[in-house]
Amino acid sequence: MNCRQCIHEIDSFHDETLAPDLRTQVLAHLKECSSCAEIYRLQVLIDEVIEQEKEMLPDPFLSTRINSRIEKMNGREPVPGIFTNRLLRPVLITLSMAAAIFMGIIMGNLAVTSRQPVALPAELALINDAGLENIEMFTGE
Amino acid sequence: MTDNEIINEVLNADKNAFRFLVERYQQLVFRTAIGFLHDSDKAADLTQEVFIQAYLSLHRFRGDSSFSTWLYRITVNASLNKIRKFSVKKFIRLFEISSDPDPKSLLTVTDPANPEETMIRNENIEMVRKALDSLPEKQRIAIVLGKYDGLSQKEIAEIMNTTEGAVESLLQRAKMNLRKKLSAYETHIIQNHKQA
Repeated sequence: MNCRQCIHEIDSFHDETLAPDLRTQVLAHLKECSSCAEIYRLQVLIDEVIEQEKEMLPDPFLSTRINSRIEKMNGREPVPGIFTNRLLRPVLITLSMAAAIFMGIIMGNLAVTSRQPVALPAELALINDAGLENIEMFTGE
Repeated sequence: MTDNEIINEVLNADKNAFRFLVERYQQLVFRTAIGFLHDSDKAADLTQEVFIQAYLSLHRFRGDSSFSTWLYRITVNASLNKIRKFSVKKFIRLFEISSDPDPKSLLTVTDPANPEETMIRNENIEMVRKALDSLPEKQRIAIVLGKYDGLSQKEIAEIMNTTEGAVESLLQRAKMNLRKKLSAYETHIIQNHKQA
């Protein structure tokens, strides 16, 4: 058996599905050829890791969680379709965002109005702080 | 009850009958997701997503293929989408300082009695996962469906919408690539050990 034949049969050899005479030939070749033995070693390593991962199990409540999510969906929207998923949802989101912005502007304007100072009487408004009369002008009276 | 009978029941009368399909196929979806994600929590989340997606688009299932084939297709697509999202997140995380551990490290083997053997085993597991993850998309799908789900080339061909010959070629190339990548990783690890 040569290397090419050996590599071709290596999967079946590993799965133990080879005919006994072919199996003996592959085994004999693997003992002689270090490069094919290396390929076989890597093949075994890959299969070991995959087998180990395959043993992982989902948690026992996974199906319960899935079913309860679906039941909730049934309660909310009996027939979810293209309209609800792809059209109505973005439109509703856009409308609610526009409404929120509009309300924000209105509330902002209200707040600004309430913070404005009360209008001063005309005589007080005309007072020039920089040019106030001398105090003696009043004390001399 | 056959799959098609359950599907008719769900579409026409009893929506809760979908739970029978969940019970029947959750293991299949989870195992395929594990093949792509290598993480049980992520695979469980993906299994949920797949069933929700299947439920929402059940009215589009025409019955041209079997329900399991259809479900495999949804699972493969959802897994690949998830991987793409993770790749983007991983790229973004390169620019962030984070103390979160790598989720893959949570799945490694620990044996306090034999730390050296544990280390080698964990390195091997990580090496095989990296090699699997670095395969081109189609080769990766073929190898996951073949090795994790134990599907025949004919079944893989149906899921991937291709010919048996193409699947055989994909599997051969995937195995060859895996061997090459593993040899390269091993050399790299040995060099690191020597330097240490």
